[in-house]
Amino acid sequence: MNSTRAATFALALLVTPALALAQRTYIEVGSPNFQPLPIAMAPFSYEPGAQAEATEIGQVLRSDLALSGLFDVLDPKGFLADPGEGLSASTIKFTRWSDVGAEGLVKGLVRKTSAEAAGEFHLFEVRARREVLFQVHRGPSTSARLLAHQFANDIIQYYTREPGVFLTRILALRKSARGREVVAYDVDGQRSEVLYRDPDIVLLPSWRPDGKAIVFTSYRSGRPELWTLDLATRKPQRLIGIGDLTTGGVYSPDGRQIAFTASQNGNSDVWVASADGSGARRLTTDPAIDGSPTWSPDGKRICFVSTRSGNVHLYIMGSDGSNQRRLTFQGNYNQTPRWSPRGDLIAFTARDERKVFDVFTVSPETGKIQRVTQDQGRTNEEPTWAPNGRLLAFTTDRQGRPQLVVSSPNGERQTLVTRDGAGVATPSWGPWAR
Amino acid sequence: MTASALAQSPLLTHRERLWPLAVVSLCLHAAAIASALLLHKPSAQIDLEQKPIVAKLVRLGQKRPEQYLPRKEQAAPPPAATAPVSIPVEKPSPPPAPAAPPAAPVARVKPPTPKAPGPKAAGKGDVLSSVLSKVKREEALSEPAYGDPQGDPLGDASEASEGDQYLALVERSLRESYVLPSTISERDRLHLKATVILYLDADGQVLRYAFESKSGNGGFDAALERAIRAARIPPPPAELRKKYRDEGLGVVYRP
Repeated sequence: MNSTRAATFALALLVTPALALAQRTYIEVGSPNFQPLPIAMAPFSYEPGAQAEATEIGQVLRSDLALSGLFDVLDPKGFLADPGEGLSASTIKFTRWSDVGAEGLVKGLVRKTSAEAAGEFHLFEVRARREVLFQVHRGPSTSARLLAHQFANDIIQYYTREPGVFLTRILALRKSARGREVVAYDVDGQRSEVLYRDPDIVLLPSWRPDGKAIVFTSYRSGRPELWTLDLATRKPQRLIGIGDLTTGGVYSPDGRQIAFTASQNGNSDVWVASADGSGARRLTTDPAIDGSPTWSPDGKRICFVSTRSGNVHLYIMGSDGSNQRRLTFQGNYNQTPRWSPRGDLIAFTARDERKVFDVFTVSPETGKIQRVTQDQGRTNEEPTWAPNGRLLAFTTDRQGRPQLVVSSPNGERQTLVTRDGAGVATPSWGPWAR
Repeated sequence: MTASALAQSPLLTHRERLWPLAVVSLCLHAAAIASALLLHKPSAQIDLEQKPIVAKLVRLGQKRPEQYLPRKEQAAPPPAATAPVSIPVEKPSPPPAPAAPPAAPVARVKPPTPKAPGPKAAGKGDVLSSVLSKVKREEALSEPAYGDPQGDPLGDASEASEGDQYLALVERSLRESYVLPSTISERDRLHLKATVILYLDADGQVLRYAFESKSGNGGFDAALERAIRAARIPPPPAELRKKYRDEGLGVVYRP
């Protein structure tokens, strides 16, 4: 009898928690609010003669980290760095850094000789109270910005396990008294370098994937044609001219082909040619206007703009022109598509029901559209992706003349990076290689 | 009493008559238990992937036309910050006025952009008219708050979905405090997942919580603990108080 009772009791013990667990309700919580990681930068130490470089490196590094959208760089006014602290974990009072909210801590020492500038950089995890990254970067004595960009990339790589983009450059067009200029900016909008100047119209510059040349539309021959510019020789060379108009050239990701818009007999279509301009072939034949091609990162598909539905919408096709299908059904003026290097989104400009131009993204698979800019000026346009697909750049008129904005893909963090008096247009973010 | 007397006892005779009934009864019980166990088997499995229906409170109002481009639900971000670094920028060389540019090619068709009104002579009457025109412009740009004619005046979603209202409120309150560091890599975001059991009191306070499964990423799990401590969960309905206090509410967090 006792054994029966014991067995019953044991059975109850086994069954009861299972039944209770079976009845528990579960809900799923997603869509977190991603917030930047608080990171502190102690003023960089410097050896005699390197104070200016230490200051510049600190400023550029701070700007890069903030621009990445990944970090909240703590205001140095919010803490008093202890001059007694050294560059090794054993000398750092982590509790003080933790008290000001820092989760990461950057320290550095800058040296300079007549020929060289060098930075010794350290990254610490405050909670773990340990050094997690140590790098030494060297360069010519004028390369302070470069050293800062290099260490910014190191920090991004450490936290995200993806390369940073701070050694890439952004092309844009700028008007000047001497004509139209193709200008390359650092990602933070500084160090603008005029790559090409033309007294005539220049349009739509774009990088070759190896970063050693660019392609653009020029009227040098009297009609719009595609020209290339070798960045080593700075010598422009005519590439393709078809029909009445050839414009908007974009290289395929492997650099072997180039897609562009060409108009013959008044019908604008998407064309593809070999990178040397040979073997041009037409991919679309619809009598409507087709143009503005952009390649998928695997080079197998092309997104383009067409008016074939009556309004201006985005379409997708195979890179041989097959399987053309409409991608967007909302809005009535969607243009300037740019396919993300990650492949998951296409950024584009659209005019909404209030006649305001804003930047959006659309999934090439589902067609779901998400807004990037809203109520920030009347025209935000011409998006272009960073090579890691984590950042977008586009132009905005929110402070007057069009300037360059670097933004997270959802638009939550946007930074105006240029303040160019003439305004900038049609940005194109460069590849990894320089 | 002798053995022969026992063999003839009426009691023994009675027991012998009952044994077939006992066997039948045993079989029936066994069948009932077996069928109960078989029928119960599926419900004894815990499906953590199963999602309860969670609703958002839909705003009272007109439906947004489907052909319109989407708008963000939350307030617009503040005006773009300018880059903190102010290293001198290359200055464009001075003036001669550029010649009027020829027409742009047609491929990048662009409709006439609405032009901002140009500067006008600042007469007294113009002040009022400029204010009025500014108000009109702002009205034209203002966006109606779309919702549903059957919606809730306090709703914050523009589209409806059905579900348990309390769980919807819990989900919303947990999501409001759900903050992760941006440095969690895109690759990690694809697979991170942790399940936490929250035990709630009658006021919705978290009495205690326990990880049913951790993500394996210290930064993610620590952020969840901060999120749970910061959450302001509404009081459960009276009929659910005992359940959420004793059995807890499971929350599956994903990035």
